[in-house]
Amino acid sequence: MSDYKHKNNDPRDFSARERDAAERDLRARFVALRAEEEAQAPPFALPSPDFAAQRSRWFAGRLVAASVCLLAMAAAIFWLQPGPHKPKRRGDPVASLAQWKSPTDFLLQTPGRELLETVPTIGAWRDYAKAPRKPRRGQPRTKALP
Amino acid sequence: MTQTDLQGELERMHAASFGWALWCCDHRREEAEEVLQTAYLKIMQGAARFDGRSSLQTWFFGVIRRTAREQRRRQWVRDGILGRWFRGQPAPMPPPDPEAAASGSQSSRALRQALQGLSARQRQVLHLVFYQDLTVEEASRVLKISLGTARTHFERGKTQLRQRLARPEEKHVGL
Repeated sequence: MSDYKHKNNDPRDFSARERDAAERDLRARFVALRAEEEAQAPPFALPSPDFAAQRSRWFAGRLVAASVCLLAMAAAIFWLQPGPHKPKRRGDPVASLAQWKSPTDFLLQTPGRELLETVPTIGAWRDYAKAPRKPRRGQPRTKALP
Repeated sequence: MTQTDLQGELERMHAASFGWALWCCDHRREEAEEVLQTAYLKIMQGAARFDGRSSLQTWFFGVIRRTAREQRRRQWVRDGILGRWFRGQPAPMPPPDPEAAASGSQSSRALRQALQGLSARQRQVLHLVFYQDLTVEEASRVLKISLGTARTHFERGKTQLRQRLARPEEKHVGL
């Protein structure tokens, strides 16, 4: 068997030939399509001044619209920008820092605080048990509420 | 290249350029004419300049492709977003020119129909290689994609197109 015959019987060669034929067929179809479409092409003409003016108007309009948007954004940022931080004022103004009282001061009023606020004296006896007590929670009230 | 030389070359390529514009605009004839005129205007006004890095045809086809894309984007904004505000619903994209689709020989109609099933990129590569007679490398430059990607689109497009042309009545599912 000659090399030529062997080459022609090779299935890879056959598929390559088939592919080439298919590609030629595709190319021929495209060439026919091109001939048809080129026949319908309008005659060559450079853009008319009207077309150019219309395009430049459109471009100018776009430029103006973009500028307006930019200006509006800049104005909004300018007017809405936050100023220096000011604390919110509640109630009456405080004259000085010495008069100011914290609203959580009552938490410091712990039971037995008088022991820490008084100085014990030698020879004197003070009955701290008689000191007035605040009623505890859960104890029955002695007085009726008004 | 002087302006006169450039105009002469553009005139020589006009029919092929129109064919390419037609394909970039999904065979909408009016849109293709407007795209081509806008591309010519860009060259006349100096917005697009040929610097000699590729062939004139490759460069000009790239200009047409970009112009078609800009036109489509503009139309999408105008009819899509603004249309939604003013009319309440966006206007659908106009279908391909029915006269153009129905015209031509049976072979061309079958080819157009088969091409509709391919992806846009595959269609464009096949068009540039078979229709415009460019190499795959030149097609990749027009489409601004890598050579390997262009080759892949070319091979897959060819295979799918052959299958569709062999069985035109069968509905193909996209691969």
